[in-house]
Amino acid sequence: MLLSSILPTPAPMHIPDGFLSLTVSVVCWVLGAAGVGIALWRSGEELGERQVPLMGVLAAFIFAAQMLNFTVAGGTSGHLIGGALAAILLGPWGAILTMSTVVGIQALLFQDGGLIVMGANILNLAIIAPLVGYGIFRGVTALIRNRRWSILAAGIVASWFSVVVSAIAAAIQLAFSGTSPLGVALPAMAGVHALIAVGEALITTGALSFILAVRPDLLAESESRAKGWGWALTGLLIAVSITLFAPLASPNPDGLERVAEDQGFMAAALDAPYRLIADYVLPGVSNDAVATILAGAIGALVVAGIAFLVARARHRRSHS
Amino acid sequence: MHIHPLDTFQPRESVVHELDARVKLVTALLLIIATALTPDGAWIAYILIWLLILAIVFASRLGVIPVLRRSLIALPFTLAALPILFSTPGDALLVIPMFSRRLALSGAGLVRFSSILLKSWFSVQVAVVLTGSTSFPLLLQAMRSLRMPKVLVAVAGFTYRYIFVIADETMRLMRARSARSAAYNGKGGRSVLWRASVTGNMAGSMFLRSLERSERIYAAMVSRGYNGEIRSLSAPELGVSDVLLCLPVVAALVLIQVMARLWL
Amino acid sequence: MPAGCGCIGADSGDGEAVAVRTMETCIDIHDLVYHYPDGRVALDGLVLTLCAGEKVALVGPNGAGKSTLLLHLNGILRATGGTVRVYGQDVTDDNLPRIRAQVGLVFQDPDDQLFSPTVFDDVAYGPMYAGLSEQEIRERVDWALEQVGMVDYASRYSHHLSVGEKKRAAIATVLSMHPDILALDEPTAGLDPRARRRLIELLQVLEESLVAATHDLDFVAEVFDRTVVLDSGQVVADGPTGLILADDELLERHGLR
Repeated sequence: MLLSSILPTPAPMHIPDGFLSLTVSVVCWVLGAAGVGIALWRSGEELGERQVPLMGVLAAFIFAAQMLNFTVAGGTSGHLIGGALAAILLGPWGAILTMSTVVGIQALLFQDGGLIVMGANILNLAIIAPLVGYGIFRGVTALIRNRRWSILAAGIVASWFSVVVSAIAAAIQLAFSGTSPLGVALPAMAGVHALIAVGEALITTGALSFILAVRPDLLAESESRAKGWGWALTGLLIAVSITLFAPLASPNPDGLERVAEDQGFMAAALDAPYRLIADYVLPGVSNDAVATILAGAIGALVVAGIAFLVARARHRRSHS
Repeated sequence: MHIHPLDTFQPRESVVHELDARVKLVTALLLIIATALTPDGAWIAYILIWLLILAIVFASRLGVIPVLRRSLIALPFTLAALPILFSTPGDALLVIPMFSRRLALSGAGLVRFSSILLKSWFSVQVAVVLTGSTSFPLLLQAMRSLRMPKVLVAVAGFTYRYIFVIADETMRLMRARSARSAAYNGKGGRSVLWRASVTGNMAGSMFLRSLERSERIYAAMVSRGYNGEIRSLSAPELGVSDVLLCLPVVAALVLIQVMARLWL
Repeated sequence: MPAGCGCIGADSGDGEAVAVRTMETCIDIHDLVYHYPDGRVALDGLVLTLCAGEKVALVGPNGAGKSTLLLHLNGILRATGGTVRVYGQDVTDDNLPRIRAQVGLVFQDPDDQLFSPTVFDDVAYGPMYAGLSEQEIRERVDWALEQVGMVDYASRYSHHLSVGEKKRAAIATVLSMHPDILALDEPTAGLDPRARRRLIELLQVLEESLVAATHDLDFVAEVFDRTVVLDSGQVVADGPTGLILADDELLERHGLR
């Protein structure tokens, strides 16, 4: 029963103190507190007196689940953050509550994430991630008829997006704080997390598959279709608005070009392909951020397509 | 007292350990905020702040080296700020040829990057001292006194109580998996996809066990009269001496802020 | 000095990890020392030799180091001092995959070992990881389940089994790897008399070498030829089961009676 020293979650998304400006921190605190407050209220209404022990222990589960890993290649491993999984299993409010508790404890107890910037970390990991995950999950399950296949495919897509969108949100916060120029932060964060998110998607699907087999009642459809569409819309809205919000975070939309002219190699290298896309797609409008988003969207569609095929293959195999 | 290896609280006999948790929490937050407010490049101010923090570390008897070592945890994230070095406009200090381009490191970029690094590092040290000198239950109590919603505090309390239990169980599950991950000649492991799905199964299994555990806990609570209302004993009176002890710290912080601005 | 087991040593002179499989190859432990991360000493210069085909019981009070010792046999814990050699191989990162195929460890809490949806999946994990063919996997799973009397349980969900069933399933998950040595931690703990009887019968019949940490002295008397008494991280007695269990004074001194 002995543990050698374990590092907290390795996901590079817990922002430490000092990386966000105080203004950004305060705004995120306000948004985060509001989200948690609503979740407290709504989950309290749904669960009544069960709320405290249930949410408390399940938050401990999320924390422990983030320790699970599988070897990818050499020294790298895949992990789970759990925003989407929490939302799928506990509903959006339960997910916000448990994930915020996890983020709070990670910051307070393990210095994984700062104290002043905790509002931002809560916003990204405990509010945006679960809401995007839940919305996409509801949306996809509403689209696909077959129950098992729909849950698995929805799980893949929802968890992938939950990680990537919350990474984009973090990048925006960094950009607004002037810590990292958007032109670098956004592709970097989104790119790195697009890969990490694959691990998330695989583990989430494995978990859903297990629960679907052993306790399918936990994944039973409890809410009406109409509400389902409402959530799907919410999730999508959040995901889209965050990605579209990005350009606003760049203090100078043409800043990327200016930097490239001056000195930045990295910025210049990144600039070229985006300029290419922008010129082709929207001739005359050299909006790098839009190009970034488009590139990201294409990538996302490719991943989603693969996800559908994988889920379909697994479904077929398990039925043969 | 048996402390789990993962828990960061280190019991010691020190002034800092004895201080009221509310005072510590507020002071810690003020320290971090003050650090964040200090302008870039105010090196003297940084040194003064660090001396202040080190004095507190010393007073806490947690050991300077262990605290500094723990504080390196935020290091990986500094990579996120690296681009600042090259993208901040200013006179080029150093030009690094890379492929067909030049990477120009500007002086202004260096100042900004170092400032972020140092300020972040100081903040983490403060957090390390706070958690090292204050047990989590006391911290929660402090937050309750500072008006955090009691349901949230109660939930966090449960999480703390069970985090080590469930984490241990998860580690044992991974250990059992290692024990059965054998290969007769050279490589084993099948595909990444398979390993990932096994990991997912483990997550699913842990979820169900945690869920059932929470139901047993709820049953135990209800058997002892729980009806949803969170009740706790009121916190001890806030000692005047505790507040007085941290006033110098606050005063020093204000002084440093003023000096930092006047000297720039 | 522990009674020799007549082992023909399997270490080659140049210290290379050569798994020479002669009739009586062993687990060879010399002066094993193990410290927990917080500094406490769990094993304090332990010396032990185990031979193929033997059935050895490890007994001792709680905290004696029995479980800790077992965890060294397949490299989950690494010695702070001293050596552990399994079939002539030092326990190193490179050797782990092979060692784990040779030493099958069954943990105390069966829940720790059942992490797949169905019993079949759990029993198949080991062979699957090792990359065996689908046919061989099925054969091994069938064989392992038959050994523990759970052939009908293949498609049951591990989550829903009783404690006794889980214990037997956990043993099957290790048997399917065809280990040479089966190491068990408190195998009879938590079992009702019927399940305990089934387990005893199973272990009496198994051909693998056995080493088990246990408090259950009646179980020891029925299954194991040799008993090793541990206390405070060291071996304090080692001999034929009959002799050891008859020594009341020894048993009392080390918290066993």
